[in-house]
Amino acid sequence: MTEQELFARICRGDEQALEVIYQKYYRMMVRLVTSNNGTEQEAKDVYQEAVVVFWQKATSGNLVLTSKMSTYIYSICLNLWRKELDRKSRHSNEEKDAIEYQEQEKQEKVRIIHECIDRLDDTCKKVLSYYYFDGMSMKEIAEKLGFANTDTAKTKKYKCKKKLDELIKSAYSAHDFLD
Amino acid sequence: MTNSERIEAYFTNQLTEAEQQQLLQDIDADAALKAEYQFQQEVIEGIKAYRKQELIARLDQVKIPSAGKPVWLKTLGITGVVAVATLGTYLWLDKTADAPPAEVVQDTLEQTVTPTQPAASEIADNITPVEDKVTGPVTTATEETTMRETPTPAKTESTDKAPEVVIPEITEPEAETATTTDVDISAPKAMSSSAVRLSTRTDVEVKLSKKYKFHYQVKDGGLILYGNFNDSPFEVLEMKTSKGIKSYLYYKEHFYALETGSEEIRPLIAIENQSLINELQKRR
Repeated sequence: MTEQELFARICRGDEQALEVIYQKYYRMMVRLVTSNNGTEQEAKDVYQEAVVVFWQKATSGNLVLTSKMSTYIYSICLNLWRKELDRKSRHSNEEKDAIEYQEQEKQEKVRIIHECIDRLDDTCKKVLSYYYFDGMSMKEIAEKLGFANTDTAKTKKYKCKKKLDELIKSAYSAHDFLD
Repeated sequence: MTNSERIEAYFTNQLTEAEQQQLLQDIDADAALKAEYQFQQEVIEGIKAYRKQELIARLDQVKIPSAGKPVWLKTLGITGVVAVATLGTYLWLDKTADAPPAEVVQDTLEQTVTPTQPAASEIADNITPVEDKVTGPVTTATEETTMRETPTPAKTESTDKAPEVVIPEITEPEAETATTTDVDISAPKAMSSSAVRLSTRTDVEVKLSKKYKFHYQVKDGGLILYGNFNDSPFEVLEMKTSKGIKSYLYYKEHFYALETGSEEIRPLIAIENQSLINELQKRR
């Protein structure tokens, strides 16, 4: 499969093509971090983050690739790792503790939201993920999930989102997150 | 458009600049709208985080092939070493040639043009019938190994291939040889079998030492950096010129020449030769 074909498949939201890319460049990208003071785990985390960023840009149709995919992903990895090194050097242990404390409430809310998403059916999960994260259009979602037309996709998305909002508001009330 | 629809449109970038400004003003003036805005923000961020986790979990399941190199890759690597040695010898001998091509190789991009010298054990794996001869220079052994390799189907691209392998032709800055304030960056005896040489897949090790605060050492084909290099990423560059392969370290916006001809621990001294810096910067 050529580079262009792989990229086209990723743009269409083909997750298998993303796996191919991930496997193909794994060692190269991981070595970038491990040869710059990073551990194997840090390297893997950075690479996965970079691949997800690449995916999001590709599926949303906002990416016009003017270089090889590997070059693009490599630059994302490099930027992410530089940021991480910068973050490490800037924060003392005390600052890290303070940030961690502030993040706790946020993390708790995220956990609740994820529990609510888990309670949705698979179609709802996909519709919301494709729309809000992958940035797909209603037309693309309709095609991917086999809906009759874009109106059906819109209605489905509206209902799924409404249901999720209700579930989260209910869960927030139970946890005193709502005034 | 209801307030919920406006907020939804805001988070999916469907509002004009003016509409965005209006919404933000309304949010400032209306506590209920502000609460709804914050709630929607959390929900949408939550959906995004959920999807991200899902994708990462999927990537985690992808099986990465073991680091062990397949036979064809070893062959490719060994053949590459021979090719580089041949090219180097040619450049070394053919001093009358006009402006011979040069290469800039960026280590962190894992240039594959000058592959790593295979470890002795790797070579030994393939040359059991001629083990006695491995005691000679490595290049000799690899040449013999290549001769004994069964030809494998030509595969020109490794899955580890670096992105955009650019091998620009450059001419050596003239000022370089005239500069005396720089560290010794004369051509290492790169093609000499006795010279210590950094490979393009150099293992870089960072060590903290009381004695050596900002030093380096080339040892066993790897690079040891002494000092605190945790502040910023560094890169090792290799530049192939008519005088051999020269190695440089890039760290915190400075370039440092690396003397690869011995295993001595040396101080890192920033290159001051502006034309060389410009060239390295450009190639980097």
